[in-house]
Amino acid sequence: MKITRIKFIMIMFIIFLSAGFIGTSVLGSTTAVTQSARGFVAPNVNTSLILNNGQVESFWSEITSYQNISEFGEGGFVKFANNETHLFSLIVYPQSNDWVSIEFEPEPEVCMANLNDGWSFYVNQNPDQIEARDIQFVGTVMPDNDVQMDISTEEIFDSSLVYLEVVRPFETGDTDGFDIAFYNGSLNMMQFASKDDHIGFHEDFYLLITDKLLGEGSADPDVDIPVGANLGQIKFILLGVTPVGILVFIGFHAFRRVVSSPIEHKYTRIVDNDHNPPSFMERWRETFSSK
Amino acid sequence: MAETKSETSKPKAIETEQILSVERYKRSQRIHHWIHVVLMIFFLFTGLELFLGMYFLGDYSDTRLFHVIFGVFIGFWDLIVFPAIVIRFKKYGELIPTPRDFLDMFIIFLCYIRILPDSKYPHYDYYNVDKKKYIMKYHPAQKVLSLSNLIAIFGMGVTGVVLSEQSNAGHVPSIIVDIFNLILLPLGWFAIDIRLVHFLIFLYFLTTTMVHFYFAIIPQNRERLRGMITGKEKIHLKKS
Repeated sequence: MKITRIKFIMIMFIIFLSAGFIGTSVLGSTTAVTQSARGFVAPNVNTSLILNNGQVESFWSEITSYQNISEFGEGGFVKFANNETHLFSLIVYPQSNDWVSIEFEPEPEVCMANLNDGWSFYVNQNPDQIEARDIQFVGTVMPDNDVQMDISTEEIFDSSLVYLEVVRPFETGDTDGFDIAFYNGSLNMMQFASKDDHIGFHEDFYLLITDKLLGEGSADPDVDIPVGANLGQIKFILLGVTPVGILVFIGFHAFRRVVSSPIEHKYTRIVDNDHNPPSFMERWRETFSSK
Repeated sequence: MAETKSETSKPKAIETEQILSVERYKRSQRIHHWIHVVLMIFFLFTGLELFLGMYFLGDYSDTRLFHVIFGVFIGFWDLIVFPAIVIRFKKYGELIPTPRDFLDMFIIFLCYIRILPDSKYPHYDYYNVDKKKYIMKYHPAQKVLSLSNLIAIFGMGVTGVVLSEQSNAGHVPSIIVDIFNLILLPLGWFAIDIRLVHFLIFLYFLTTTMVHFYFAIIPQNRERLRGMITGKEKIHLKKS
C-alpha cells in the first residue's frame, strides 16, 4: 500500500489521539496507588487530660511522635494521645498568629473540602485567651461552627508561644457537625493551616489512634495512605511545568524558525490588488492537492 | 496609492521595490492593547501572590483587594470596551476566526513538524494597495486568541466573583451571583473545584502571554510590533 502524505497525516493524528487516551487512562488509575506519609501516632496515656490547672500535662513530654507544622510558623508543632474514650492534642504555635486550624479528612484530598470536620483556634490578644471552635468545612470559605461544640481546651501562653491542650470524645454523636468518629486503630488524614499560611499547598498527615501504651510499639510506624488527587500538589506542579514547557517550545522555535531555517516566505505580506484571502477549500487545495 | 516613504532600486532593474508606510492599528486599538497589558501584568501578579501566599505590597487583604479591583477593570476593559472598538471600526471580519483559520493553524503545525514543506506555509497578511487597507492581517492563532481571551476573561470573572462572594459575601448584587452560580452549576455535577478552574484559566493566560510576547519580539515581526506602538508599519511593494 502506498502511503500518501494525507494518509501519513491521518496516521499521525490517530497516534496522537491514541496516546492521549492511553495517557488519560494511566493517570486515572493512579488513585489506587499508596504511598508512605508523615503523621502522628496517638498512644494510650491511660489517664485523663486535666484542663484548667494552669500547666501543660507532663505526659506530653514523653510522647515522641510529633510533627513540626510549618503552617503554624516558628516553633509550631502538634502531638496527639488518647485514653480509649477521648482524643487529646497538644497544639503549639506563635501567639502572633491570629488563628490556626486543623482539618480532619477521611482521605487525602483538596483542603477545605465540603463537610470535612475540623477545629479552629482564634487568639484574642487582649486579654490573652483562645477562642476554640468545633467546625465543619463548607468549601473554600469561612467554615461553619458546629451547633454542638465537642472540644474543651486550656491555653497557656509562654515565651510568645501558645500551648493549647484539647480534649474531644472519640464519639461525639454530632452527625450535623460531620464529626469524625475516632476509635482504636482508626486512621485519618489531616491538614493544618493558619492565618500566616493558608493559601497554597498543605501537606497531608495521618493520625493513627492506637491502644498501645506510651513507650510500647513504634512511635513512627510505616503507614500507607491512598494517593488521591491532591489538587494543591497538582497546581504547584502545573505552575512549575507550564512555564518550563513554554520556554522549551520558545527555545526550540527560536532555534529552528528564527536562527537556523526561517520560513521561506519570511512572513512577508501579500501587497497588491489582485489577491484575496483564500477560502477554506482554496487553501485546502493549494496545500494538499497533489498538483 | 499609499504614501511612499522611500524608493530603492536594485541592480537587476527587472523588479523595483517600494516601501510603503501603512496603518496597521488604529489609536484606539493601541490604547486598548497597552492598557490591557498593564492591567494583565498586575492582575496575574496579584493572583500569583495570593496563590503562593507571598505578598510584596501589603498583606493578604490588600493584595486580594487589588486583585479584585484589577479583575473588575479588566472585565470592563475587555468585555465592554474591546467589543465596542471592534464594532465601531467594523473589525469583526478581521478578528473572528473562520474554518480557514483553523485549517491554517493545522497547516502551520504540519510545517513546524516538517510534514509539509515550508513552501506550503500560509500567508496571512493581505494588503490591498488601492483600498489602502489590510483585508486580512492577523495570524490565525491571534484571531483564535482574541476570541478565547474574551471567553477566558469571562470565565475568570464568573469564577472570581463566586469565589469572592464565598469568602466575603455581599459585595456583588445577589442576582449576579445567582446567575454566575447557575453558570457554574455543571462544575458541581462533575465535582470540579471552582478554584481549580480559576487557576487553570490563570495558566491559560500565563501560557498565551508568554507565547504572544515571544512572537511579538522576534525579528520577523519587528514591523508588526512597531505597528502596535506607532500605528504604522513599513511593508514592501514589489513592482515588475
